[in-house]
Amino acid sequence: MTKMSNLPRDLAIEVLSRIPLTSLRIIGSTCKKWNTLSKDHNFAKKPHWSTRHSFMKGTRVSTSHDRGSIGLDDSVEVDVTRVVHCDGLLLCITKDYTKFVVCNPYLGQTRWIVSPHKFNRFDLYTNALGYDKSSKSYKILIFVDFFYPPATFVEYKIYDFNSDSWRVIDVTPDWTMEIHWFAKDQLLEESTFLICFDFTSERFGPHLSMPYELYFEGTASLSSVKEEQLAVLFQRWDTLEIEIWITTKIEPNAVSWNSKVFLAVNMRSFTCFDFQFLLTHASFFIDKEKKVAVVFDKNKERNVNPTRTVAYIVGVDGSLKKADLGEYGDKHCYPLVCSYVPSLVQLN
Amino acid sequence: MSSNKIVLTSSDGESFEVEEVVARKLQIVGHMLEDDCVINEIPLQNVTGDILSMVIEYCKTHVDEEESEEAQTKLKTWDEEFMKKFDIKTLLQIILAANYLNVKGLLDLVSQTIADTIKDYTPEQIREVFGVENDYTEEEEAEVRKENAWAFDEADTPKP
Repeated sequence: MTKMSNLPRDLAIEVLSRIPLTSLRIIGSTCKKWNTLSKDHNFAKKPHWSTRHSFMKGTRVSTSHDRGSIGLDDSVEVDVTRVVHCDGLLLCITKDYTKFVVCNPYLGQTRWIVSPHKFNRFDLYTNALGYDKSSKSYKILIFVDFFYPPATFVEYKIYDFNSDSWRVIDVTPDWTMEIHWFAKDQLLEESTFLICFDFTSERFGPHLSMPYELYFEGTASLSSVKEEQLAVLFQRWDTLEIEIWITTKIEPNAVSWNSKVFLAVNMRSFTCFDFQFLLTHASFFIDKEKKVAVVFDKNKERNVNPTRTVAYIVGVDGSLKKADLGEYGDKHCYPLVCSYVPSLVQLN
Repeated sequence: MSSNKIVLTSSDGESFEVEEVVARKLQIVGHMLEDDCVINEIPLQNVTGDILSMVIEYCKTHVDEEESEEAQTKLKTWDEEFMKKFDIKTLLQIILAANYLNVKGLLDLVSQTIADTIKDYTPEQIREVFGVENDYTEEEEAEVRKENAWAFDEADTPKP
């Protein structure tokens, strides 16, 4: 009888490389040989992996666990203040900003990087993770908005995975930094426009339009949808109305938005309290099939000092459910959620 | 195209007379024909008659691959129906044959079909069907399971 275990290695790879990553883990539990095969980084080079469809089912959501920490391997647990992702890699920044850790949760690999800055709590930090196509290296971009009143200045630094070093880059964008975020790979948002940072040329792209006019003190936050689309959440501070929009096209120089809002719900209908999600770091993801958005925050609605993590599940139909995720000790840390697609990108 | 007939003979002595254009879909045959112009009968040692007949059926259907969208859709539907006929053990024989006879399209199709079939299996089912030996010790298996916990969660937990 023909047995899979007797298949020549290249044929076994031919088959295994077509299995979605989530199932590949089960394959790895079958026997040692397949476990090795399923972690073979050559998989990543197979053309099938580049078709995003094979990744669809691989979409996982990783939440930071109680107390805002993330268990990266058996021995280390750190408090994380920020998380961004690119190609299945997560960049987590420790609460005290002294360390950056990049991990591939699927492969269980981590890489620790010392922060190029001494943390000052008045400085604003923004980070992104991306890929340089010409040097075939992942890079981290950090900008620090130094707070030296009356003047402030911004410094941009790049960490290169190949050279394992930081260097200052000279970019002078024509916008001032007030609020910005990174989401899908290289995108960041400033005030009411999006902008893309090209990690190959190390330059910012043009301003990209947003589907919504952001009012003063409004919430705006980004999330990626299966690393193919971008979702943006807005919330007005006065009416507490939430809107979530999804892109139809997302490219470095062009973005277009679905003409119909994905979700529009007024939080005031659920609570008599002024409930507004975090201004810049409302952590959320959307599920298009289930027609919901899940926003992570604390139990702010009745508490001046909220201590518990709550997942607010907001339905397209206007429903709201809450799931208590437990005690959340640190009052300066907020729960983080990151929707990413697992990959076999090696960190070492 | 020439309407030359070529006879393909399987390892168990079954013969199939096919058009040369169909036989050329088997790249192994194509190479033989290029190396030596006059061949009428080709023995294929590594494939049995029942499997060879299926490979030939695939090649006959795919002999003129038209580019039009309509033709492509039709072929795709045929491929799906064709694959439905086989159990996993037959699929494994076909993949070996497609590899040996070097039929790229069939190799892709069968690989994908096998991948789609086994992706929902549990490790136990996979071992049983594929005759894979569980070479983990109990501790190692517990360790791997722990490491892979989220994958099992998703498979085992019914959706709310």
